[in-house]
Parts: sequence; structure tokens; C-alpha cells
Amino acid sequence: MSRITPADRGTGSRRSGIDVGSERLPRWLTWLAGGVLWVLAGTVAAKGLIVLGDDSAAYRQVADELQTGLASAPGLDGGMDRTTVARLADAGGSVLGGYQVVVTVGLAAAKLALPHGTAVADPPVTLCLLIPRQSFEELVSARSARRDGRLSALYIDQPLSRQMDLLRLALPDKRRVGVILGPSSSRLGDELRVTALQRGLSLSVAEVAEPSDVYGALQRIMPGSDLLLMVPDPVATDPDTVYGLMLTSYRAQIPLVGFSEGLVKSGALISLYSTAQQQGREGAEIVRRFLAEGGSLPAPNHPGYFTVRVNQSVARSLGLQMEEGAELAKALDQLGADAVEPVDARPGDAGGQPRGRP
Amino acid sequence: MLQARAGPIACALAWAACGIGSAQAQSLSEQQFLTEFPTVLSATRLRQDATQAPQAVTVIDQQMIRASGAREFAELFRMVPGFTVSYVTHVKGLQPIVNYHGLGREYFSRLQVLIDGRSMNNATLGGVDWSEFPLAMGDIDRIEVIRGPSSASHGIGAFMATINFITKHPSQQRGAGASVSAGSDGIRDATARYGGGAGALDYRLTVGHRADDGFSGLPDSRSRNFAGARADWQASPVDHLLLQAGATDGDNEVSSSGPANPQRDVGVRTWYGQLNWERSFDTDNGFYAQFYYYRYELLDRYAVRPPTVPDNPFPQIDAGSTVSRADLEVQQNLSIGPTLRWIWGASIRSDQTAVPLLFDEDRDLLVRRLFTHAEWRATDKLLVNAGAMLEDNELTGTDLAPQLALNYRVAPNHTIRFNLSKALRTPTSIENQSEFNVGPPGTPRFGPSGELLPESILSREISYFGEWPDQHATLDVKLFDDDVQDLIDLVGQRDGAAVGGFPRNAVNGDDARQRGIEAQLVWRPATETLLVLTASHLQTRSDDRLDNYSTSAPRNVAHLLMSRRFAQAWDASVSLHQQSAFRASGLSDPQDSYFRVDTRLARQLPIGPGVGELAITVENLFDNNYTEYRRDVVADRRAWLTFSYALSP
Repeated sequence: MSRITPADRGTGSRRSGIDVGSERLPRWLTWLAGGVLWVLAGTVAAKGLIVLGDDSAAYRQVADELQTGLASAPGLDGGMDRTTVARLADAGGSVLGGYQVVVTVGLAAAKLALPHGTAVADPPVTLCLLIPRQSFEELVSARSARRDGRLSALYIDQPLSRQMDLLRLALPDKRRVGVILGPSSSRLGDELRVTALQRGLSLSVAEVAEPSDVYGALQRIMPGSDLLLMVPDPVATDPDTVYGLMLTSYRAQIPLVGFSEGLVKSGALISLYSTAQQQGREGAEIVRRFLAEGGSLPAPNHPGYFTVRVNQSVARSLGLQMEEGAELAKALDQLGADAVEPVDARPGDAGGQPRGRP
Repeated sequence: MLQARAGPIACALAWAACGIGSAQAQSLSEQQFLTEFPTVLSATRLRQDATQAPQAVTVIDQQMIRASGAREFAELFRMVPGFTVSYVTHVKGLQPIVNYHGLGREYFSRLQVLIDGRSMNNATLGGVDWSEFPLAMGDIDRIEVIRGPSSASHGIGAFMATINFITKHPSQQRGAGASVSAGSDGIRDATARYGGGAGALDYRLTVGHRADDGFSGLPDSRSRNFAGARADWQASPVDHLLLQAGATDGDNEVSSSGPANPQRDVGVRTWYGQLNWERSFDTDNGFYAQFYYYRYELLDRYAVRPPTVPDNPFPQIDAGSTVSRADLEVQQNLSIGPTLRWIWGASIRSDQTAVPLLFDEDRDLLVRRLFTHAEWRATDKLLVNAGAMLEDNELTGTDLAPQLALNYRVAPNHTIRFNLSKALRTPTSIENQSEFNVGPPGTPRFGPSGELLPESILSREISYFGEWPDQHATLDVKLFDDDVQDLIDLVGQRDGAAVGGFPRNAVNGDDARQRGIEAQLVWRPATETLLVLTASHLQTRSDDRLDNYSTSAPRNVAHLLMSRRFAQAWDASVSLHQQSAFRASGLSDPQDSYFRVDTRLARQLPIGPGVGELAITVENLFDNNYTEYRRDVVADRRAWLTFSYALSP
């Protein structure tokens, strides 16, 4: 198993795709070499492929964790190769057929690796990481790519139930929750209402069609909200509007609950999210179990490993006494373990490690 | 994470380039979860809440501003414990005077007044022209009033207290709005505002006009036109640029005080430009740089008619002044471990003053400053704030102003603060003269530079801050014992004998010991319901050799502001103000105690696509004819109607 693919050693030309090659090699030779490797890959050793959105740090962290976690995985003696969307696109999707298992990291990688309908007769087992649930579901239905047990995902977003549990744990006296939903998150409205109701929280929802509507929506829901829960949406939480949203809620002394590390660092009071490492680790565990049990991938699900981070500076400025994120994550994990989850057992349980990690 | 950081910039540029694109076309990707955002907390510079502030702070927020009904910035400070608001009309026309714990003269100030960190104190005399601020009341986000010396954190001039106006971020004011007011005493105000933005850029433009006839029976009308602009550009996730500019143009009517001082109009022209750059890596780590230029021109040329020699050409007097100030400040914020936050920085300021009547040539003053401030969370309950400012200027040399404060949390939401701080006030260029030789008009009146010491204050403060989150109530009680030394006064001679006539000297004359108690309760029992109750008691002891310091502020002041919303669309507020008698320093008459009631009633009116509001404000409802500064400046009832309309985008 190798942690670095030949292409990652730096001499690979973009045209030659994932294979060994250089600018001076004639194109046909590159293809030949690629073909040979493909045949070898298919016959000699069972290999896996990690497809990254690009070379940026977050993706690399996921890949590192995957490669570490699958270092001595039974049934994967060829290890995990690594490529990026750009290189894979150049090489052609047929390369995927040479791998026993493909792990995509990010939406762009999933889009590239998921063939349209029956375009490929026998696509490899594919696990999508770092992908929002909604995008995965849209992609699967758009591509008619549903293959139970052979295609699955570990979502990047947290289940709403866990999000609501965190609100109750971290901010027990803030019971009026405000949410701004955009065109793509609006379908979560009902689920939000139900999960809030189950926990004795009241919910006010404002829907927006354009990022420019966010400010007005905020003015409408703020008076009746003790906190604002951010739900990922390209419109409602557009990076350009987030700044104004944070500023406005902060001025009104209404705490903001985010869904990423970036948000909590920037000024949200608290965020619940899975780090790139956690996604990689959990992805590795899913692949490992699949290989060991030889059966099928579990159904797509939300992550079992998660992080809670509290911005204590913001807490102090809002005059709130907050527990540390690690404590809240532990409590949240306990709550999740106590509840009987209808979905199949979480992969994280197998390792016996705490699911929440600071 | 360089690439992840580049993401939002690229997004922002693409967004700006194609205008408002089809949002629906975007699909949710992991980038939403990986994006780094600009740090919001440091941009607002709201780092400390009241339990951590080293001393007593009053925050006047938008709700209080609206409820007060004030159309005059100075009026807002009536609700702040320890503050006095009054008006003078002689010399340069109608001017509001805001004072904390007295001691000050008409145009001299021992307060630091800032708008978004920019000092509004005039370099000639140190006072503030409260009528010339190039902003509308609606542009103010909040006003932080630090009651007590805070040179270590607020710089030169933060002597008795510091007032910092913080204007709204333009993203809070998207859309267009306008407001017009008209009422008694010739009140004619109008403002128009537009706020917009694209991508990472937000901006606001405000223009306005304010005018009134001043006090009845006196030629003291005022008129101002102003324009102000603010642009905020989030250049990258960590870099925030703030550009502001503004100008004022107006006139004050000045009454005659003898043949050498005829009735006339005095012009006021000001402008400023300000650039702030802030790089924040997270809430506690970053750099900050600020530069501003501020110019204040008082245009006052008039002819003196010598009564006995009618045929002589009238001598032209230029009693105006021009003051310009350039100020550069840099600052670094650091956090060292989870318990220590640290700020250090430096600033350099150049003041240029031209006063043709007094000085043959322009006066320059260069002030350099180094400052540092650390906040150490020693234990869960104990917070230590320590800071110091080292100031060097050409008049008084180098001086140190340290501050040490302990905040002890006796129980959750209940904090006791102990604060010890020292501050300095550098003499202004006019004060720093050894003698005032008043000759015939047109000849220089000031003698050579004197050797004044800076005034100093040592403040000892014990205060309690309590919060009742369920009730949305806070209580702040401050006990203080301040030593003010080397007060500079213009009346008197170096030997200490007070004289009424000329020549006059500027000397370090008296000391004063001030003790008292101040309390402030803010309670919001329901949304849109507000109750602010403040009270203060002040005792000043001084030998009063050169001025009447010991009676220079009212001994007791109480203020109550109540506001509530009813029937969804109506807002009603009333404020009651009672203050005891005092006699301001300088050339003022004794001012009797008085009681005043102000009230405001407003109705929200949804009109067309926007929201309108019609409000009536009555100041001094019961027409109590109390006097301000001089016996002839008599307050009476005043009322005005305001219609405002706002259109969100």
C-alpha cells in the first residue's frame, strides 16, 4: 500500500492522468502505461481509490485518515491510491473500474465518480464522504444511481435531532429557536418543527429566496428568538451574507449556533460539526467493515464522530457561562447512545471509541 | 488551509462580477462547511462585557436613543449617571456642553469624545462642538460611556470619562430611508440615507440638515448641513477595511456683547476622512491600524465699529480658527493561552492650530503614545485588567498613565470591581501660554509659551455589577474617590490671586477631591419595554482659588426613562429628569435646580412597500423655565413632529 500515488510525486503531467508520465512521453505510451497499470490493478492486487475535490488541506486530511485507517485492511492488499477530480477527469472515468472500492471526498468527486444510470455495467463499490445529505440525495436521484449496499455516503452534516439535543444541553433556558431557510433547505422545515417540538423548543422559521433577503428575514424572526440556528444552505448561509447575519444577531445579543468550525471561529457561539479527520476516520471504518464482512455498505447516514466547539470569547461577550465543547460533546454522545436509533448501528460503536471528540 | 480561505474570496469576486445570480442554481456543497469566515467579534470591537470591563460603563443603545426622543446628541447623556448637559450661547453661538463631574469650563473639556475611534475634541481648547457631527441619530449603533479615567485603553484625553459613538455597520441599514422633523423654536431637520452593498462590500450614505432658532428671545439660531459616508470591505476572510468620510457646513448666530463683539453669523466647516484596516485571525488575535484626518474651521470675520470715530475705516477682525489633526494608530491583539489576552500599540498625532487673533503663526503639537493592556483570567472568579499608556508631547514631556483593575465574581452574574487608574490631560496650545496680553483688536494677544504641567487624575473606584438574566435587568453601582491635581485655569495670575480683569494667565491652579456614588438600573421586563433609572451624588472639595470647582456640578441628579410598545404599533416613552443647583466653572451664572419631563409618542405606519413612523416629541412638557449657564438663557417647552420612512431592499 502506498500513501502517495505516483502522480503525487510531482512529475505526473496533467494529460497523463493518474499514471506515471512526463511531458516527453508520447500520448499513446501514457495510455498504454495506464492500461497496463489498470490491468495490473485489477488482477494483481485489490486496490482502493480516494478521489479528492482538489489538493486543499481539508481533503488531504480526509485522505490521510483514510489511508492510515485502511493501512492493513484485509481484502485491500493493494492499499488506497489517491487522486483529485481534475486528474481523474483527465484520465477518464473508466479508470475507476480497476478499483475494488472508491471513496469520494466532496461533492465534485462524488459527481465525477457516480456514473449516469447504467453507463457502467459494474461500477465499483463507492462511498461518498464530506458530502451534504441533500446534495447526495439529489445526485443519486438525478443519476438514477441508487445501488443499495454498493453506494453509500457518510454525510458531512449533522442530524437535526443531535443539533436540537445540543441546544437543550448547552443553552437550556433558550427555548425559542429562530431558523432562516433557503430554497434548498426549505424542505427541512417539517423535520425541524418535529425535532424541536419533541424537545419542548418553539421554532420560528423564515424563508428566503435570495441572499439579499436574509437581512429582512432576520429582522422578522429575531424579536421572537432566543437563539438562531444556522442550517447550511447556499442562499441562507451564503458566505457573503453570513458576516452581516452574525453582526446583526450579535448586536441584538442573540447567540448563533453554527454548523462548521469556520462559523464558530468567526463569531458563532457554538458549532456542531465533524472535522475532516473525523470524516476520514469514520470513512475508513466503514470501508474496513465492508471489506471484512464482505457484505454491503451500510445505508447513507450522518456522521457518528462529531465535535462541539464553543467560542468562549463570544460567550463572555454575550454574558453566558458555557461548558467547554468537549464536555458538551461527551454529554451529547451519551444522549445519542441512550436513545435507540432506528438506523443500523453506527460504525463508530465498533471501535469502542467515544463518538464525540473535542 | 490556504485554499479553503481562498474560497470565499473567489466566491465573493464571482458574486460581485455577475451581480445577483440565480441562487437556485447553486447547490449545497461541502464548501459551506469548510469555509473560513471573517471574525465578527473583533470587527465590532466588543471584546468585554460589563462583568469584565475594568470600570463602570454605560451603554446607550438604539432603543434608549429612540425612547429618549433626543434630536441633539448631547441630550443623550442626561441619562448617564454623573453627567450634566447644559447650553451656552455667548461667544460663538449656541453650544451644548456635556460634562462629567463638573470642573470644566465652557469650551474646555476633560472628556474624550470619539466617533468610531476618531477624536472629536478640538485641539485649540479641547472642547467638542456637539452640533457638527456628520452623522444622523439613526446611524448610531450604540454609545459606550466609560465613566472614569481610561487613558490606558482610550488614549490621550480620556481624563474624566470617555464617550465612544459606534456607528452601524452598513449591512444593518440596507435600503433607503428618510426622515423630516418640524416644530417649535424653528426646528427643521431632515435626513436621507441609502445603504447598499454587493458581495463583500457594504456602504452607507447619509445626508442631512439640522436647524433651530435656539433659545427663545436670543439671537442664537443654528443651521447645519452634513454628509457622511461609510464603506466596509471584507477584502479577505481576515482583512476588513473601513473607509469613512464626512463633512459639515453651517452657521451659528452670535449675539452681541458690546461694540467690539457685534451680532453676526459664525460659519463652521468641517471634514474628515478615516481609514481602518483590521486583520483578525480569530477573536483574540490580529492587527489593527487606523488613520484619520480631521479639519475644523470656524469662520468668524467681522468689522468693529469704533463708536467715537465714525469716519475711520473699520478694523477687520478675524476671530476664526482652523484646527487640523492627523492621527495614526496601530495595535496588535494577542491571546497567550486560554487565560491571557493582551493588546499593545502605538500612536502618533499631529495637531495644527491657526488662531490669527491670538497667534502670529500656526501652532503645532506632536503627541506620541505607547500603550498596552492585558486581561488575565487568574481564576474562574478573578479577572485582572492591567494597562498603561506612555505619552510624550512637546509641551509637557513624557508621562505615564497606568491602570489596574480586579473583577471578582462573587456569584454567577454578580461581580465586584476594584479599579485604580491614573490619567493625564495635556494642556492645549491656547492654554499653554504664560500670559494673555489683550491689546487692541488685531494685535497678538498671547504671550510666550508657558510651562504648564499636565492635569492629572487618580481615580479609586469600587463598583458592583449585577445581572438578572431572567428579568433582563442589570444594576451598576459605582463608588469613587478621585484626586484631580494641577487643574489648568485661564483666570488668575501665577501668584494665585484671582482677578476679574486682564491680563489673564493659564496656570496649574487648584486641586479637587471628588467623592460620590452613581447607580444605574436597566430593566427590560418585556420586548420593546424599557426602564432606565440612574442616580448620582457627587461631592467636590477644592480650595476654589481660581474657580468655583466645588459647586461646578450638581450634587444630586436622578433620571428615569421609560418606554413601552402597545397595540403593536404604538411606542410611548417618558423621561423625568431632576438635578440640583450648581454653578459651572468659567463665566457662568448659578443654575438653579430643575425638574424636566420629556415625552415621545410614535405610531408605526405600514405604507406601501416600506414602514413609516409618525412621532411627536415634547421636551420640557411642563414648561419649567429653568436657566442654562446664563440667566438670560431660559428653557421653555419645545415640541416637534417627525415623519420617517424606511424602505428595505
